[in-house]
Amino acid sequence: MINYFANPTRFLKIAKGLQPIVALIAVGSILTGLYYSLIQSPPDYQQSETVRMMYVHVPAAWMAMFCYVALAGFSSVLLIWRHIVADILAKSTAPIGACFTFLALATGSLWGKPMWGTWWVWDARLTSVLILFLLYLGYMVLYNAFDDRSRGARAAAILSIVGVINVPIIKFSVDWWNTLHQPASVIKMDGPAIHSSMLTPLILMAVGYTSLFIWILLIRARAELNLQKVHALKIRLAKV
Amino acid sequence: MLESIYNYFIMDGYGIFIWVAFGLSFVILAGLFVQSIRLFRSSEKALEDLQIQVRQDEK
Repeated sequence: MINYFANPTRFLKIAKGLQPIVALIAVGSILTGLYYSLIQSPPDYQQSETVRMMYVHVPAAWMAMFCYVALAGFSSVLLIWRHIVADILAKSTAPIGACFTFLALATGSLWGKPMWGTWWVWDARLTSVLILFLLYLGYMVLYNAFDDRSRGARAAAILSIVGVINVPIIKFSVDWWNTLHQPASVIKMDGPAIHSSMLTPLILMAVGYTSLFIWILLIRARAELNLQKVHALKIRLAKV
Repeated sequence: MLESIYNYFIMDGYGIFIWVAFGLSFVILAGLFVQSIRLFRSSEKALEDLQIQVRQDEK
């Protein structure tokens, strides 16, 4: 299956067909999710209206981790099978993941000020997410740090695979250490602990963010494939 | 009517945090999307220009 998608021409064909579908899901889910988040869902009995920040903060935090796992997955495929599409997908995932991580940190900070009385605290959850953000930045810097693109891609891939250890640390940090951050209330063994009136917008926003990630990933991957062709053509012209 | 709209935007006094969180999310994600579209368009343009040049050179 990996070899099937490794063909750039086949990948382009699939990406072109998939793009309008994910675009439709992304726009539909986010607009419906925003309606439920800002109008339909009730305020929380403890956190009052501030709970609405959950609908942008939590999906961003999920996507921050999801994008990193995807980045490490693409990087593994690149290192094992040397597929060019995996390289392109990994390179395209990094800035999207960095944006979601930045959003998780910024919206978390905005939520933390009224609820905890502080914008930032060096506890396990917040610090591990900050490390995730630095890993994304490190990946992008390392990728572009070499004159030889393939060397940069391999070095960055190794960094992303090593850094994946941070993802379970983020997930379980609230269980392993004392932290201001609340424990998991949606993805847990005995099911979600939040009411359906709040779960609905949360799921809608999560679906919207996931589709948006795929949509932007496909656009960026197609751009990167074009740039690789440009690079190859330039070499060909230089030889002539 | 106006008072209920005002109260909605104030959101129990937390409006500034909530609207900034939603606004920032929109700005970052829309910015990323627009930058990606621009990257794609510029890559297509660069590829087209080079393909034309290659065809001319081959002639």
